[in-house]
Amino acid sequence: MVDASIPGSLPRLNPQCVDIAARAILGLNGQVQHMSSFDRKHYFYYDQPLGYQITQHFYPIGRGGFIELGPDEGFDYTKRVRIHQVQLEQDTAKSVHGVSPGHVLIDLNRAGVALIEVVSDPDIDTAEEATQFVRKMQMLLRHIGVSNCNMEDGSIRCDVNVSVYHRDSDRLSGTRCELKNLNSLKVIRNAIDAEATRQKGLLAAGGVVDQETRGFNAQKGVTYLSRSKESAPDYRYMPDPDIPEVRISDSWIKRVQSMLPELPEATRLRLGKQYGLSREDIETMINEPGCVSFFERSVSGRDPKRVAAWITSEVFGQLSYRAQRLANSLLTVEQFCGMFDALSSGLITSAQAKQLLIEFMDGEKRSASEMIKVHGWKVISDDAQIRDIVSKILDSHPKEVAGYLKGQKRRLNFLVGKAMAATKGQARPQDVSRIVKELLEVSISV
Amino acid sequence: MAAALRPNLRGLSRRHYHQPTPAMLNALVGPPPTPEAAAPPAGALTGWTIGLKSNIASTRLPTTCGSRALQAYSSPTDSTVWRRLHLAGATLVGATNMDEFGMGSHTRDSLHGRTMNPWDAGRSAGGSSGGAAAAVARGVCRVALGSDTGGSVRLPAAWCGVVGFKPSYGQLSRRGLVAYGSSLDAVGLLARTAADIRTAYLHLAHPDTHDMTCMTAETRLRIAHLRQRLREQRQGPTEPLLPLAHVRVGVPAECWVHELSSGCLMAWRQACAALRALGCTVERVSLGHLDAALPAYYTVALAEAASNMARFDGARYGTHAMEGLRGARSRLLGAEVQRRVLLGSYVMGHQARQSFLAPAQRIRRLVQRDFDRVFALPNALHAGAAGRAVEEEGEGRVDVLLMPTAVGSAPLVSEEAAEEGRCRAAGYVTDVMTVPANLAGIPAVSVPCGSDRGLPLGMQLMAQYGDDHRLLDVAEHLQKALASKEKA
Repeated sequence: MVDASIPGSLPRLNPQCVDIAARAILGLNGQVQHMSSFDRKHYFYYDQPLGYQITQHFYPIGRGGFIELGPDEGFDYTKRVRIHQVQLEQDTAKSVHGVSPGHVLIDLNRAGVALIEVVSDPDIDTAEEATQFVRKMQMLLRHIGVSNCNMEDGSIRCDVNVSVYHRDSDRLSGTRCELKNLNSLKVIRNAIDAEATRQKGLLAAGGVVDQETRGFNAQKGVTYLSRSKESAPDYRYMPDPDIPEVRISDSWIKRVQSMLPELPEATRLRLGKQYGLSREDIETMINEPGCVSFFERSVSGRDPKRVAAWITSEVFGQLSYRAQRLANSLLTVEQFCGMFDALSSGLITSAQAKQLLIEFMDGEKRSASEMIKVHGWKVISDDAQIRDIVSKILDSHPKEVAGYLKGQKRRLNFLVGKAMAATKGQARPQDVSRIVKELLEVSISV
Repeated sequence: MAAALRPNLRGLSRRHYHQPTPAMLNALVGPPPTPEAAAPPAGALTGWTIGLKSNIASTRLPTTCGSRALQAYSSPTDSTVWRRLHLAGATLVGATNMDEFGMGSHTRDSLHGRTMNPWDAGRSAGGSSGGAAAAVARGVCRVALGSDTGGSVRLPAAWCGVVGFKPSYGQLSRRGLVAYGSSLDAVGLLARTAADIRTAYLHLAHPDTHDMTCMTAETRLRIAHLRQRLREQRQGPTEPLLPLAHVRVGVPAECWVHELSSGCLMAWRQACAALRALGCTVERVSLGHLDAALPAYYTVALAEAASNMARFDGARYGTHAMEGLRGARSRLLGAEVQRRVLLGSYVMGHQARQSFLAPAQRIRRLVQRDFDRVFALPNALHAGAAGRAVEEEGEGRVDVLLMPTAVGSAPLVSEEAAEEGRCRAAGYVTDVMTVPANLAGIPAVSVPCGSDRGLPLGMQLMAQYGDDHRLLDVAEHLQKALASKEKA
């Protein structure tokens, strides 16, 4: 009702939004404010049925905080980008173009949905820093469960203010232009570079930069004017009389803090120290929501590096093949551990382990040991039995054996392959290979 | 019973009372309610007829707010207040006329035309809930729900000779009330007797999770607790003989303005005497910032009005949607609404805010503090109020305040128009006695009392925030005492 601004409808603050905002603020090292309130920001636009947006102008819910950029983000220096404030506000309706020719349709389902706006201080010096700042924030907010932060579907959107300055003057002496609706990391980087180039060109030609709002044309790689300062509206901010102040106690903040997962910086350090994992494996796991927890629940009593390797190569391989996230995968920690243990103790081969993984991710609910029984898999670990199979193969391929004995070493792989096929994959390749060599040596000595 | 239901007729001529006819009054507007899908539930209010001001939503009536912007607009949901009355068995009679979006004091600036005063067709019915007051006065409905942003229930009640009650801010849910000044708006009740108002009010005063500004159950409990403590403090050793013994009435000196008509002064004295006879003590009190209340009120109300009107841009609602946005407001909103939107937009502006809106908000807090100083009951909203020792209440702390609702009786519409022709803001002055209660969020009720040249007058009682029950109690006794005196 409020979304469509039905007369007589009133807004309601969803307490869950306050909770999520508090998590974001604490995750960004900021301070949740004990008192915050909501204001009306007035402007006319067709995606804004109320004629104003409910936002937090005078008393935002969060102030302060920072994101650190350093070697992990590919910089050879370390710096902090400070967070100015974090505020809760209403989203606008979604404009739908192209469905009805000549018309823009307004989807009110998004109108009034809460969003969190994070405003940084002017601490960013390059397009790369800006890009990494956004990327790191995405990772962080995903990690603490604030948002899935997918830029493509608008779960995180980004406006950037760009100004340039002469090397002899203050870094904030330039006039800034706001770039709106940058919807991917690549676009952020390119738009900033394009805008900085434009401003430098203007100044070099003796011109001045006007404060204005600009858009970015990704095809042409240039920014274009969307609104000049003269037409900048007076938002006529007014405290929203429909929503009382939000009062937050210290104990509530402490409780939210205690329920926050470990922050990525700390996780990274710990994974390296505690498990000796490689930097690549750590980065891969940290960037996939839920992965670190999956790893840590699987790792106890097992070889951490092998567990990590299986997750990052085999499990992730399957996920990307299925275009799935780990959080939505049907694979359980118990199934993964059962599969891993069967493999480690030699009950199954790695080919069989991979097959189990595929079955689990297809939705198989049964445990690894049950599935091994169902398949009737057992590893032939009796050397005598393998020797029988191998000698039969050698007998039936005299040409290849002769070739090997003449020094054609590649014949070995062919023979091992034949023997593996004869065991129906139930023998470990290394065992088969060893025995084939043994028997061939015997042939030489004969 | 019949006698009790009759308004106070002292000095009023029968001839006035019998004209014009209800149909001529233009109190009810638009089509009658669509029939109910199912029989109304039987309850305590079965048989009670209810009029709804045109800005209170129900699915069975258009919610026009008296505006072209909402012509033929019907709400998809019921307001919380109407739903509550409906669930108690009440019968919907129709939509009552009003000034467009509640912006007016005469029920004259309406899509549906002017509502006439039931005592004299040439006179103002008061506004903006003039349709509600006229309907109740002529027995078209037993209770009407109105809205009161700066006196819009009390003023028409006074001029039409009925009881009009504005509860504490947040006592009744605003959900379904089309907003004018959201921090001042209250759903109010009009009826011939304070007793009827109390009965209906008890069905309405409940928390509503759909309105964040509606009093929570905890606040209601805290108020009851404060009230209880005060009562225990006052309790003498013996049961008092008079119904309103222990009640202290304050008469604000600042309301004694030279514009008061002689009839009004007489009625004020008459009310004081009646209250004394009921056992009250009556004393003089001071509300130092009362003179600044009116300009502060109009600054805050108009800023909020401009904000709340922003959605009426011609793109939605009723039959006029899609006529195009260019010039939509000039076509769809009346002159008075346009004037207030422009003024409100101005005072909210980046530069004017500091010189208008900010001082107005400060005055508002001063007015609130004035009231907190005169009332014996602590204000439950203020931090530490519960901790204030009730013992602290010294001389000058009172339970209710008594003052006129308006400076005189209903003016002639022609005179009023001429006055406004000379000065646009002249109409705003009618609200001088009523707006302080809205600024402070405290309850106020107008009770018919006395007359002026054959026209009814109203006396207004106010009480501390949340002290609505006590206020209605005093109003009921006062009304009965005045009525019995008349018979005698």
